[in-house]
Amino acid sequence: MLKFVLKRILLMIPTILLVILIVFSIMNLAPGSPGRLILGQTAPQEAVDQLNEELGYNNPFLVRFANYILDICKGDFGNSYRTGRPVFEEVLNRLPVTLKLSTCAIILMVSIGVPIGILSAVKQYSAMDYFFTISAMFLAAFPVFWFGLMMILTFSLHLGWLPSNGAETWRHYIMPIITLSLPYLAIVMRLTRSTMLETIRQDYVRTARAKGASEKTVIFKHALKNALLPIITIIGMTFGLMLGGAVLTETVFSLPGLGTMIVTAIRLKDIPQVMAAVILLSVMFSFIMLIVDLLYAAIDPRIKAMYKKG
Amino acid sequence: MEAVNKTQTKKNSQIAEIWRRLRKNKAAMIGLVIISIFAFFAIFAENIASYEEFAVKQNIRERLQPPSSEHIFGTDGYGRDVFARLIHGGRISLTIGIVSTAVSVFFGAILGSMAGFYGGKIDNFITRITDAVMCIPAILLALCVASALGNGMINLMIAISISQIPGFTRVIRSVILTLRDQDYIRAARSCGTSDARIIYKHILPNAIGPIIVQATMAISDMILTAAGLSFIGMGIAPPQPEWGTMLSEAKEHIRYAPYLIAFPGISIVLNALSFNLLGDGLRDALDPRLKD
Repeated sequence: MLKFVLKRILLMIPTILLVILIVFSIMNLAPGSPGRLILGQTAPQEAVDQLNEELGYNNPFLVRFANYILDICKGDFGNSYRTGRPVFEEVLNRLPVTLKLSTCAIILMVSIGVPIGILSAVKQYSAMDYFFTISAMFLAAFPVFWFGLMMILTFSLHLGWLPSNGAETWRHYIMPIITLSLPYLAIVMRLTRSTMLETIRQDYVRTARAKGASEKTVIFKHALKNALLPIITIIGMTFGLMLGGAVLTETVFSLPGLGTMIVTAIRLKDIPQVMAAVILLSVMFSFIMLIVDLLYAAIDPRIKAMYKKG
Repeated sequence: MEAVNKTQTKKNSQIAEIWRRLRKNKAAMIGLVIISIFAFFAIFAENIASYEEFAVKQNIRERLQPPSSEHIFGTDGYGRDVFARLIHGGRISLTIGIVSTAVSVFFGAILGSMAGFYGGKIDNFITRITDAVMCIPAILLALCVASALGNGMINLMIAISISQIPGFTRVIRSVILTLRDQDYIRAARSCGTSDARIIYKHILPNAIGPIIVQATMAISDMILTAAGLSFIGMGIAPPQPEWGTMLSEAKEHIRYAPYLIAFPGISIVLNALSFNLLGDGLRDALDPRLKD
């Protein structure tokens, strides 16, 4: 088992390097040299050239990339073009807001989506099943930013119950959490339903019924336990999607998280800031997928046995 | 000649069969009708309301008028007719959705079939890259590309296509892996058919079902992502009437003119929903065994 964990962690390194390379190359396509971006449009060309030289911008692409990686290993993601301070500080300041938002949204999504999915599957073709299936269809088509605006309109402007922007108290988080979780709630509901339907039809479920186990035992002990694996993968993947969705949600509710930071940084062409945030989010996503893989092995005795042998 | 005719009829009857099954699916039909209505308005947008006169020309005297018989969806903060902007915006949104999906399918098909067909090192290389790209949340990747390339419709399409290519690559690769060792492929190879021709003539036609389903669903995703990017100011720049851009402009007037938020949002939801419904229906119609 330990060997498997180590192997998975080692395999992550090339993926993360590739992620950094991709983001690095894309951001390199942006017009303008760092010297020009830091000093502004009016600065004399000589000063810009000198600064570019100091920052190592005139080196070949691969050399710059290698230096960037080496700096990252030392924990240095470069300095912001705008403030001149290390970008990682700002990223770490903003991270808790995004984490709070997406973790709560995941919890909300799982605690509502999974039970509804199970219920729909158990009572397939009932009125309730149709109702939930149709709602899921609608929810999946909702743009998060539009839903957020509608929530602000109703709960902040009309009813005056909740604050529409900022992150000072827990009440500020209620609407963003609901907004962020809704589209993914739909995904989780649908996928839980279909995996449950698949397992309910398996032979071992029929056997359990035949030997006279109660309906509750059949559903929770025999069916759900086996349906859990795909559901966990879905939840892990949704977390990654949510980190992206948080950009829009944070913008709508002006939450000071990583998402708003990325959007502001992109507007101001503060490239080191954007890269640090995108890389951090992608690395977090790969770690979550790693944890999902490990959970898989921990839950499923078949997979566990496979790695014990090898 | 006769043989050609025979395959022709067979092809037609297959399409007819799929259409017959699809027609029975009420949800898919509702989706198709909604898409057709939006497509109709998008195609004839210029004939219904001139772009220059109604969709972009500012008219401060008529600003923020609620829906009336003259302006059925009201006017926005610059006095422009919301209905005219919506139908011209539909033109942009639908074009973006369809064109970027086509681009993603094209590149996904090339990469996916290369990976699946050749296997080995090429497969390993392509799979590694797709895995890495899939680690970056799609909207962030699109944001990076959009910010590097700048605003504009073409750049927005490039940005959102790139983030969808890995998904298609994966689907197509997995389909091709199952087809690669079939006898008829071996037969084609033994006749000395070139790899490109085998992929194009013998493999891709068999992979078309899953591709169509995935593509229909992707259009809905693309419309949502494009609107999202425009909403945060990284997509279609004002004064062009994209739905996301309209929502972002309407945000200022949320207090006095909530209808400005309602209509573009409803358009996005209806379109995204319809393409999803149609995709679901197509999946069932193309492969009835998959239906649960």
